[in-house]
Amino acid sequence: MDKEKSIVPNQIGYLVLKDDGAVLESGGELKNDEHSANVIMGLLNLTESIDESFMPNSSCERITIDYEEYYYSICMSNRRIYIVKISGSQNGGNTTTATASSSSSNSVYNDASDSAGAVLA
Amino acid sequence: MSDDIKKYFNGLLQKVSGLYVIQITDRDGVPLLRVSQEKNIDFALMPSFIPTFTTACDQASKLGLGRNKTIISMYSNYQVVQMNKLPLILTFVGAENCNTGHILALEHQVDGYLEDIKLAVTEA
Amino acid sequence: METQLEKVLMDTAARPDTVGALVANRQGLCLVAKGDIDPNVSGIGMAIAQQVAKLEPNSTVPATICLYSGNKRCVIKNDGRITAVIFKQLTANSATGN
Repeated sequence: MDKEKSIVPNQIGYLVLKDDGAVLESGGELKNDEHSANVIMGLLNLTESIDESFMPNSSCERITIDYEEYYYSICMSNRRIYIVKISGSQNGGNTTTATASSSSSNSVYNDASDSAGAVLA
Repeated sequence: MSDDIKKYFNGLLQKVSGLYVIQITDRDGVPLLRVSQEKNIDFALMPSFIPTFTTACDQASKLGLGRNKTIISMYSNYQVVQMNKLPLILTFVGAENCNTGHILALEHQVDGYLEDIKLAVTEA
Repeated sequence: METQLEKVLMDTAARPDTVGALVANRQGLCLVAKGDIDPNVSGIGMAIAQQVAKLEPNSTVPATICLYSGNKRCVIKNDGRITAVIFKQLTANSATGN
């Protein structure tokens, strides 16, 4: 991992995609992971229109996908899609405790976007 | 106009996994627009089930529960969702395990695009 | 028959910051919805859960998905049989805690 760039502490892997789904950069466990890139592009396509009256279409700026041992954080910025796989759990997989978890993920997100933006700038 | 609409419906087809065909017809079954996946179903059957739907829909409207809007038919290999949007009929054909709820949710999304086709039909 | 399910959803929808909650069956059809949530969301909610399931096909524990838009959150979880979708909106109080 020493020559891989580090976007956030505890990162396992990362992907940077163009808005058309092309992989711009990748590293760690997600190195050249076209499959994950495709799945996530499909996911973003679906999240465009959930419920117009609750979330305006295409307003979703960040997505997290939590597993027991790690989670994915996906965020959109500057026509790029940043995907980081990070070790550690946010909420123990319980949907009902998601409010508590969202505050911690928020700080992770800020770290991710700030440093990712800095590296690419 | 038709290119835009076709593109939009092709996009919908990609969005819903397991959806094979979206077809828009008038109430007699005359196809106005059809988009389909590579893995085709037997199109020979399609003309006959549009008038059948119209009949079924008319009958279902007589049950005293108001006007019938949608009929979902489940088969061992396919599911067919048909929506009554007179003067148009919207038909979706998908795999039996396809996300029915997602297909139903498309109804509101396509309304805007259907208006254009409706205009063309009523003018004709 | 569905009283248990209704009760669970009532409790969920009554939690702080929660706008509404629903559960969908395998076909993406809404079983119960409580609070301010459109039952039509069940289909897209399940589609999202199914898409995410492709990400880690070997994972035994299903993932929890959270979509963020401003102070709103949409939480989705699927256990293979049913899918739960919860809409949340943080109030000013909890937002400052972030």
